[in-house]
Amino acid sequence: MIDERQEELAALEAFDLLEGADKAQFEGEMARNPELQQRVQQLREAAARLAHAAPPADPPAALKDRILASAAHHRQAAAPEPRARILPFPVIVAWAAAACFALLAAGMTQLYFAARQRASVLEEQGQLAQIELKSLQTRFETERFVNERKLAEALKAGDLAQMKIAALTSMLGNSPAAMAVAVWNPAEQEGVLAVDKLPEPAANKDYELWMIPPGAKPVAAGLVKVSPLGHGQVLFHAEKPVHAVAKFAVTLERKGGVSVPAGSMVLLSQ
Amino acid sequence: MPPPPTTPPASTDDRTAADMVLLRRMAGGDKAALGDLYDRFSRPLFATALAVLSDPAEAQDIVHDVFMVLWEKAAVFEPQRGSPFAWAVTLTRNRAIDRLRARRRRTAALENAAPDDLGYEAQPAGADEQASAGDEARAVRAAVAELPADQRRALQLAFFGGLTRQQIAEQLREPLGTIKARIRRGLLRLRDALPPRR
Repeated sequence: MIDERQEELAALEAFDLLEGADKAQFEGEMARNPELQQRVQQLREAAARLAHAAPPADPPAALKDRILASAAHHRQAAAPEPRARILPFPVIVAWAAAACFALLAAGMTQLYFAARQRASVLEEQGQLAQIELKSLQTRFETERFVNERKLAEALKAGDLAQMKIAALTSMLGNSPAAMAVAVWNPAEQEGVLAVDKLPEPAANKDYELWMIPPGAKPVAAGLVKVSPLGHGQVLFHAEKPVHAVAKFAVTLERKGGVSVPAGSMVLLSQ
Repeated sequence: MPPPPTTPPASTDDRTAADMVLLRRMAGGDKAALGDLYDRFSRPLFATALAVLSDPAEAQDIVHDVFMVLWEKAAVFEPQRGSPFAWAVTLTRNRAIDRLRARRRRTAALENAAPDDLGYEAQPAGADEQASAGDEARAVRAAVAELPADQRRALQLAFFGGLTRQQIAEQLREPLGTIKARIRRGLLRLRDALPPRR
């Protein structure tokens, strides 16, 4: 049963008008309620058809040829593997482990909620669903335990107390799931950034990472490449020594990057 | 070799089923299928990007990029999450809005992007037939024209405006709760009025 409040939120979600805590809360609610998820999908389909309500306009005749020519140079994603891929956990250096743990934990949480939702649908079909849910819960708990152990090892091995660790959240209302974790080691003047669910930039654009020292201008820290599925992990260095970091940011810049940020903010740490 | 077309779910409407077959062919590297999908989608996608951005060159870039995404990711498309058309529209609209928000001249651009009314009621029946995308476009525009004016305006701003819900409320000088209710009622009414995609 969907009440009026849920339906109102579903309509806003269909237009990507939910933001921040409201969006997170609604997504949690939706993950537990298949009927609500279905309603959002229905409303998204209806909203998409508003594209036909735009003032009629024909694209230039040459655009089709341009697209077909471009397709010859674009690599296509392979069909997904039937089983979910488990992210590897690098243990080479402490900060890389910490970054991957944070991102993996977030990913595993999503996997867990997705699994719970799937299982709740199947429960109606009998005992099989309960077994699957149990299995997935066990798997999630097991992997979380393993990752926590690895993080503890990383804490012992490195000078993590000196490091700056930050979660970057999406600044794009239309790509709210994008996220990243940055870890900066001032002693080594090196860091690692792991991103997830960040849409690929246009061919003439690049994502660029910035370190923002307290009260100072942003310092460029290199380009951030993402896979077609939105994943990426980069080792970065600042253009000049950075001893304290107030924030990390990722912006969308022209191809090759810039020395002063000029494009739109994509990710920002708190 | 492209994978053979498979039978879509029975509940899927005809047009969506055909779109899914094209996506599957694209996943196998079939560029002719990409051309066919372009013929089916390009006009509403371009019109949407243009309505948001008011800039034909930028709208063209957006449509190009969206078709590259469709081409690259055809194999990972998940039909249970929506139709190919909704996917393409979402990509187009999101990219257009992101680009709109990236502009420093936001206020002026938004005023241009969301005209006061798209003027459906003022048009005689069939006046836009020649320029429209055909039956589908006519059906959608007729359904939108049937909406109460306040709901229609709220939906137009929500879809094409690139505004937050608070900004929509401010632009329409109405309480936020009123705007949320209009969007809900308008979208439900539109969903019920739209025919299956044929």
